[in-house]
Amino acid sequence: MRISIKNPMNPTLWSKNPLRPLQLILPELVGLGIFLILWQLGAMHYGSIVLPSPWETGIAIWRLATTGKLENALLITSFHLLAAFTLALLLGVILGIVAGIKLWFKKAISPIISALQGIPPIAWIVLALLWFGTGNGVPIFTITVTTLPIIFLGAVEAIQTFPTPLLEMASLFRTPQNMLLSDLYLPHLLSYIFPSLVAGLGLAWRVAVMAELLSSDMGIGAELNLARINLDTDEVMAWIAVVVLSIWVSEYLLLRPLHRKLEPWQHSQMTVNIK
Amino acid sequence: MLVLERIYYKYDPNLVLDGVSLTLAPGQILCITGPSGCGKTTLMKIAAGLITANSGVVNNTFTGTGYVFQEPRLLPWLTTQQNLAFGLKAQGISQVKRDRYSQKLAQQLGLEQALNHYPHQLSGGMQQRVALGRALAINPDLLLLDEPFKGLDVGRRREFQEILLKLLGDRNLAACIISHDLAEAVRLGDRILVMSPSPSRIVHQWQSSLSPVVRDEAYIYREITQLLSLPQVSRCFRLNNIASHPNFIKSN
Repeated sequence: MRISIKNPMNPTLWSKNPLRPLQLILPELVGLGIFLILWQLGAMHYGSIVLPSPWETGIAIWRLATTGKLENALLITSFHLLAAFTLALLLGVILGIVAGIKLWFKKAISPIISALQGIPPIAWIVLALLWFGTGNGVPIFTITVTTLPIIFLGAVEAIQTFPTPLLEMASLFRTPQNMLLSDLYLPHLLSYIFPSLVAGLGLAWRVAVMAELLSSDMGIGAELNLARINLDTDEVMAWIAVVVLSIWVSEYLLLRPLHRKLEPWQHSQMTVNIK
Repeated sequence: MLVLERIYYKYDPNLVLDGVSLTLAPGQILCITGPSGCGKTTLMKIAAGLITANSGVVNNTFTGTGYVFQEPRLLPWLTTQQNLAFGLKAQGISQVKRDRYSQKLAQQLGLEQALNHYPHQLSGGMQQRVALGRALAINPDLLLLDEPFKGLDVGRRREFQEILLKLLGDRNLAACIISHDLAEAVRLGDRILVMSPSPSRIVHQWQSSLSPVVRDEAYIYREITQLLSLPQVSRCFRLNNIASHPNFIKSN
């Protein structure tokens, strides 16, 4: 859904037509509209006990928001995600850099990484339940181990694709080590890690809800479980909608703008014709 | 003064350089020309200290050496201004001074409007000018340029050559320029070394009687014709069929 502006220098683009941003995401809006209509039809056919309508779900979300339940659950789940993501990022990047530089280490660690990739998250949850009991431990651990391989592989690729001609150039200027790190290695690494972060984020949300549902009494997953036990289908739907909205928000309003801020060189699309 | 003496360089299994010697005095422009694969870039990298020769002596008494690669080799995540100041930053010069200096350089290179642009937003010619500016920023007295005009169209080539000649003249820089284009070499160089491939040796030296600014097209074409009439030169430029022809030699 990235809106690419070919020529932001042209002010008439915006002033002429204030609906322009909406027009750009029109296909997405149409898709969403069709989905909502199908949902509404399904709800009318099966009844609100089985499938609450979008309207009822909206009301349930509002209720959760006004009672403070939503805020609490979101805070807890976000904490799980943030803690686990930070851990995965640190571990993945450090291991990835070492594996990128030392081939034998990459070879040694790759069976472990592919095992991590292959083990279903639910298996980790069962294991983590035995190790950590209930509480924050299970979601944080499970998210970390499931997203770690994605970040690790991104970091390995970043190191292995590092353009050596640029290093040769830097060596001519007798570039000091700390500047090599800040001006060459880090920006390159960042550009490889970001797509991995976006890919890891969706997975992390799914795993977080599942882990909380099975192990925790706090967080979105736990609330979802509670709503299920109470047979409150409105609220179940509301929590699912909250997860979907959160994934959108964290990707489009958090990660991508952050990417744009950290890596403006990848997003400036306009080319200039200056002689 | 840059002195290279009897440089041998072997890159298994081929002998890349077979006893090549050259000298370059302050303020002089030396062009090295020859067909591709004759070891020009290797020689340049040995002069810059990027590669070590198997044997031979490299003596560079210039205080600062700038290097322009065949490709611009700009950092894609830095703006023109930051790329220009890369060498200054490596020397630990403060941001304020770096900015002031890179702005001045941008003016001389016609890059004022591109200061805040990233490399991918610039044309090939502009990127190459940024690379030249980056090499000049550290105030060298010797500039090594490895086919700096490669990939530029004819118009841009001439434009860039003029900028380069002006900058070299203004700063009284010594320069060593690699080119596989004989016309370019005759246009720019005070001296030309013609290199032959396998084995890589210097087969001919040419010296200009005129300063680069007063050389006109007629002079350039006359000199090229004379150079190419020498069998050892024409052989390097794959004109050996003509040069070895009995009639051709007879007529000379």
